[in-house]
This record gives sequence, C-alpha cells and structure tokens, in this order.
Amino acid sequence: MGAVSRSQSEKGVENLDSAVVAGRSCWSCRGPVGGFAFCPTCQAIQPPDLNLDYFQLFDLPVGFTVIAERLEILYQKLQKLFHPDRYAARGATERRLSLEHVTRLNRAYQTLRDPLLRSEYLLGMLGHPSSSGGQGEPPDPSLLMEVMEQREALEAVDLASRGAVDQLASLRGQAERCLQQDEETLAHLFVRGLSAGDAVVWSQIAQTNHHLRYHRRFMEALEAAEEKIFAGEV
Amino acid sequence: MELLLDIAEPGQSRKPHEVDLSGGDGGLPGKRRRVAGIDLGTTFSLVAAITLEGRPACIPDATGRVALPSVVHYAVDGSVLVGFAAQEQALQHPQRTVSSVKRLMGRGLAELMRTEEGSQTPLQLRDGEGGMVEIALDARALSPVEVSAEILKSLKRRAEDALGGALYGVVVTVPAYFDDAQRQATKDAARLAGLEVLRLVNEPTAAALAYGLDAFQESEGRQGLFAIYDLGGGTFDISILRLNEGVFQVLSTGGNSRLGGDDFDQCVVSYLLQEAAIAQPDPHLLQLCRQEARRVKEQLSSVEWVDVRLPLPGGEVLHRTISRSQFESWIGDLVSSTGVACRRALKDAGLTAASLQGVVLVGGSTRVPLVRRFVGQLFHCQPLCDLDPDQVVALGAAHQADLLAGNGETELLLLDVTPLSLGLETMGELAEKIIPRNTPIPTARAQDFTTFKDGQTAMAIHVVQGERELVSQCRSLARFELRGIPPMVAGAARIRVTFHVDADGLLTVSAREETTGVEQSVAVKPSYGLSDGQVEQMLRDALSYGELDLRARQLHEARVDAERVLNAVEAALRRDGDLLTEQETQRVRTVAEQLRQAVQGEDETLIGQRMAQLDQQTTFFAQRRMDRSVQAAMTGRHIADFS
Repeated sequence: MGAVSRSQSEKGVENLDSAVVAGRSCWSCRGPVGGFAFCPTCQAIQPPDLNLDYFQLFDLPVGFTVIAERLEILYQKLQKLFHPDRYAARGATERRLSLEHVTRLNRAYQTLRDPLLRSEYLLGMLGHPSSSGGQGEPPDPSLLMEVMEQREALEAVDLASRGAVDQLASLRGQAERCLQQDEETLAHLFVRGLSAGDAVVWSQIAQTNHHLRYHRRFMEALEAAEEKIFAGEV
Repeated sequence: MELLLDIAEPGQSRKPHEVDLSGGDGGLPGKRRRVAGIDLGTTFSLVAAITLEGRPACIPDATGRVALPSVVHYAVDGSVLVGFAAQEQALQHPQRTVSSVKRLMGRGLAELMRTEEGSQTPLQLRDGEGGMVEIALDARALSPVEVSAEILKSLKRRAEDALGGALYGVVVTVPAYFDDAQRQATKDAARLAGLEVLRLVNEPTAAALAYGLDAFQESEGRQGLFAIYDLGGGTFDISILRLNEGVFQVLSTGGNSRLGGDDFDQCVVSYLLQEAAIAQPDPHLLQLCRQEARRVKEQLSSVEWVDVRLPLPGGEVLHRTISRSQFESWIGDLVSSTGVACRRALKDAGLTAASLQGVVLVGGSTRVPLVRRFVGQLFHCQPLCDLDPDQVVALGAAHQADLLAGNGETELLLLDVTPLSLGLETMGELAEKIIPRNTPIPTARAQDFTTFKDGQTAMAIHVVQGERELVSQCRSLARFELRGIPPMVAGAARIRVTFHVDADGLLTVSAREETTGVEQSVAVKPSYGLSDGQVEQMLRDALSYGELDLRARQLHEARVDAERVLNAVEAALRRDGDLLTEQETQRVRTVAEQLRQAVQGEDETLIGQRMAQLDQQTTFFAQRRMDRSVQAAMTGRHIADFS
C-alpha cells in the first residue's frame, strides 16, 4: 500500500479513542485493523473511515488555500488504491467497499477543488455552518446593487451585433476579477479565523460566500450568452 | 502444509485475482480470463481482444474482415441475418432490415420523428413500452435493444470462436455523450446477448487508452492534456483528458448523440432526391440513395469529384457529378456545429486550446478532409491519426476489459465523468440540478425536499437529465412516487432524495422520509430501456443465456470468495500463528485444505459449506488476535508496533 494510505490512516487513529480503534476488526480475516484503510494482516480493503474530514483524506493542511497540483496528484494516487476497476475481479464485498471509498473520494475532491464548496465545507467543519443556497442572512445591499448593474449591462448587449463578442469579453474580465477578489478575501479571512476566530470573521466569511455565489451566477448568465453566439442562435 | 504454501508463499502473498477462475469452462490454473472489448457502432461494430503477444487486436470474421456492419435483417421465414449478409438484403427488403439502430437506442418515437432520419426511415416505428420506440415487423414488435443484441450475439460468437471458449466478460463502449437511457439500453442489449458487462466505457476514453497517450512526453509544461475528437456514424463526442502516471482522467466531455457521418450521407440523399424532383421516395429508392450517398462521401475523401447514376422508379437514370467542394458546402454547418461542444468542453475543463498537447481523431467520419481541417484550426495543431480511426475504440475496450479481468499487473486507470447534469423536477416545472455535468464518477449526492401541503402523504419524484432550466426541455428519465409519508403540516417532512451514479455512468435514485424515523425507501432505475423482468423474459425466450451460464457465474463468485478467505487465513497464520498451539494450527490447516480442495471442484454448495466450517474453526483464533491488539492498546502501545 502506498504512503498516502498509511499517513491518512494514522491521522484517523489520532482522532479516535485508541481503544475503539484497537477494537476494530477486519471483515475478511477478522484480525485487528486499527485505523488502516487496508488490513495490515491480509491486505483486504476496509470500509472508509467517515471520521476523516476531507483535508485528512487528502493529507492536506486545514485551510482555504489548497494547492491545486498537490490535490490533483493525491487524488490520482488515492484513485489508484481504491478505484472499482481495481476490484472488478474481486468478491462482492470488496467491490462495494471500493465503490464507497471512491464515491466519498470524488465528493471530497470536488469540494476541495471548488472555492465556494470548499469555503462552505470548511465553515461547517469549523462549527460555523452558513446557510447554503442563498437563504438565511440577507446579502448586503451593495452586493445586490453591483450584481444588478452587471446584469443590466449584460442585457444591454445586442447579441446579434458585431461588437457583441468584445462587449461580452469586457464583462467577462470584470466578472473574473470579482471572482478572484472574492477568493482572495476568503483566503485572508480564513487565515484570521483559523488563528483567532471571532464571530465577526465567520460572518464575514459567510457574506463573502454570498458574493462568490452571486458572482458565479452572473458568470453563468454571461457564458449562456456567449454560447448563444457560438451556437449561432442569435 | 506444502499444499497451503501453494496458495501463498511467504513474502509474495497471492492476490485473489491472480488465481485463475476463467470464464465458463471450469477454470484451469494459470490461464488468462477470456475477455473482449466491443465497439457497438452506428454503422459498424467491432470486437477486439488481447493477443498472445499481449497486444490488442480486432478479431476478423471467416473472410478476414474486422468490421461488422451494424445491420440486422429479419427474414420472412423467421431467420435473422447480421452484418454483410443483412446489408445485402437492405435493397430488396428495406422494411425488414434495420440499420443504424444505435440512433434509436433509449429514444422515444416523438423525439425521433422531429429528426430527418426518423421521419425518412423505411422502418415502421411506433411507441413501445416505457416510452421507448419500437419497430413493427409482421406481427412482432422489435425493440432497438433486441436488434442491438443480435449484433452483439454475432460478435460474441466470433470472439468465442477465436478465443476458444466462453467469454468471462466484455467491455462495451458507448458515446461519452450518451444519456442514462441510452446507456441503460446498451447494457440491456449486452445482457440480452448473454454477455457479462464488466464495464461500459466511453468511446473517447477507450481511444485514449489504445493510443497509449500516457506515453507521450510532457512538453513545454503542457502536462499531458489531450482532446479526443470522436465523430462516428451517428454520434459526436469531445473529451478533454489529463494523463499522468498511468491515470487517464477525463476533465470534461461534451458532444451530440445525434450527429455523425449518417448526417453527411443525408445531405447527399437530400440533394439527389431534390435533383430527381421526388418528395416522397419509396423505401427501395431511399435505400439506394443512402448507399450511393455513402459511396460518394467515402470517395470524396480521396478524389475531387464523383459520378452518380441513380436509377429512378420511372426507368429514367439521374446522372450527376458531385465535387468535393459541393459536398463540403452541404456539410459545412454540421461540421462547425461540433465547435460549440468543443469550446464548452474546454471551458468546463478550465483550459484553452493552446494548453493542449494534442488532439486525437477517432471515428470513420474524421476521414473527411473538411473535418480534419476544421479540427486543426479549432485546436491550433495537427491532429493525431496514427491508428485506424475505425478500430481504435475497440482496441482500447479490449485493453480495458483485460485490466478489469485482472489479467496482468498494470498501473493504468481510467477516471470518467457524467456527460449531462442530473436533476429533479421542482415547483414551476423547473429542473433542479443534483449532479452537475462533468462530475467524476462514481458519485452520490443527496438533497432534502419537503411537502408543500398540510397532511400530504405522497410525493411525486421526477428525475430528469440535461442542461436546460425547464423540465420540458430536459430528458425525462424516471417518475416514481414516494408514498406513506406520515401526515404533517406543510414543510415539516424531510424527504431525502439520493442520486447514485455508478462506474458505468448509470443512475439509481432513492427517496426516504426521515423526520419521523419511519423509513420509506424506493429505488428506481430509469424507465427507459427494459425492466429486469422484461430482460429475464427475453433471455428465457432466446435461450442464449441458459441456466448453465448462470451456475458458472455463481460457482465463479463462490471461488473468488473462497480464495479470499484462504488468503486471509494464511496471512493471519503468518502474522499471529504464535497464538495457536501446534495442534490448533494443524486443525485450521486441515479445514483450509478441505476448502482448497472444494475450490478445485465444481460444487458451489460444497464450497459454501467448507467456507462456513473454516469460519467456525477460526473464530477463536480471531478472538485471540483481537484480544491481543486491544491489550496492547490498553497498555499504551501503538497498533503499528505489531506491523
């Protein structure tokens, strides 16, 4: 088994009562399995440890900033260990466990590689869940103004006109800057939150998530308009 | 003792998959499992397998041809012809000869009739069960699944003849852009043909595997990023892949499951009919036009113009010369329409064309010079087409089948994504996305819903697939009702709907009411395709998948499990053998040896009994092993000290 599975397993051990971990037995050889993902005796794949958070799963430091290349490399390494294709010729239990591992792995990967999902997940993990999907605390009025202006600008573009592509490109530039700024703000706020978290920081993070969500929706609308032009539907 | 060491010698523990349990015929040790890869194409289908030299190769028919025309002829006497023999009947019996059946897979009549090929087909199409189209022929109704199964059966026979025995399993390829209904229908067809589907694999991904793209050296920091442009007879796919240390990771995919070389032919057909001033061609003329159109298209890939002489019903002959530029002007819009999907796939992968290391051409329609020029311009590079674009998908499928069967060690791994968003209908006939497109599979997502009326005890769940906001513009996959919700005020119930997409890309949806602790659970498979009952009935009718096959599979499963248990016991003895007296060890070994003998035999029940015996005989051993580990933890020693 690779180094990745060992180190993540050991982290799992630290999180739990050691007696509980010691009491875990392998479903196949029924020997002690501890927190390992593969039985140290018979190598059989074990059920995923649901106590591991997504950062532990990937052996990444807890924080908003995730180095994309590192995440990708670890993702592929873990897939090589757990993917159902590796277990296609094995028994039913092994096939099922592999599926459970990889389903969770894919979810974790998607969460960590997406800034908004990552921010929401981290907030929840640190005990300050924000309402997702835009409910709960209202976004601040300045955000609504800004987004309304962007939308109006988008609607004002005559998609059939010759200048439409350039106009959309300019709006895209603006929108990309907004998204980038939101991410930078989040990175900054999480550093503060993780070192000395006070209630203010967490609510600022929740607000920034709102910003990111609104800016994304605008980006989607912009892309829909671009696609119409490419597809010749104007 | 020696016999046990045979299972696993110390230091080189034998993994269960190395134990031979080859398909169907008893399983003699030391043999590879017989597997094959099948490219079930719109116009041609192929089957490939790994040769003795370890390379994938397409299996030819008796006359040496590898491509089997995807044509099935149902003769008046009830016999069925497949391939070239069926193709020969197409002109005489257009209404009894089914071609391009792939375009009917998982489709409803209404949506087919909106397309040109649906309204112009010589076949009699009508609405069938489960909203799927069926073909009326004499007194029977043929489903596209049954027709596809005939093609698969023919390929199965070919592979079994070549490999010398029953197949353990196959990989069947599908267009990456196939939706759930089309995938389900394809899998049903394989089951109906008596094939065990190891995996449905996306065609572009299979092609990437065949190309061995992972061997390409990283250049100028463009770390193994490739586009696979796959234009077949009836489908178009674009996939963006990242390759790294044997992992083929699909970053995004897109396409059009109703665009391909058949549409190029249709352009020529339309021109010919227009020139002949015939608005309503009879089936015979239509078939003749199609054959001419295909010839024209194929020849125009190498020459500048082609002569056509088309005999018309009145005895006249239509004579025309078609030039390449004429042909290109007809298909120009179709070709450029593939650019939309390519741009979207690049965007979804977060890339630009410049960051790609190369683009690979797959599918016979990429032989058309205009397509090559277009792809080159779109991706700013010279497309790769070293391998035969007709064969590359089947070759990759054979490779993947070999990997899945555990024949040989390898580091190669395919990681794929969902091509289209999956969601549910919510208030106002809007589609709410649960799993967005390009999500890595397998995956699972849950979403909570609630009741909107006081005392509501049932909830309708409508599963849809597609990118549009309105349910009516998405594909409807399944409808079911969750009943037995306890009456509560509106909004109090909590209904958790869970979507599971497996490694084949197939969806299962379940729903459960959770607030009251009363659990209601319904699992559905999409209603397109056939129900399990229907498939079983057809299997019985067809007698192609007898009881024998089923027993062989059960025996196989029992053997795999027994080998695992023997492995586990041997590993436990190696590590913790000191916990047993010599006498106890001997007893365990004796029972293990009995199981090992049962595995060599053919009696599945005996294997089960001996496994239970071994289980019983090692319970105290397991207990002692656990006691020691807990003891160690209590005294503050880390579990790893034992490793």
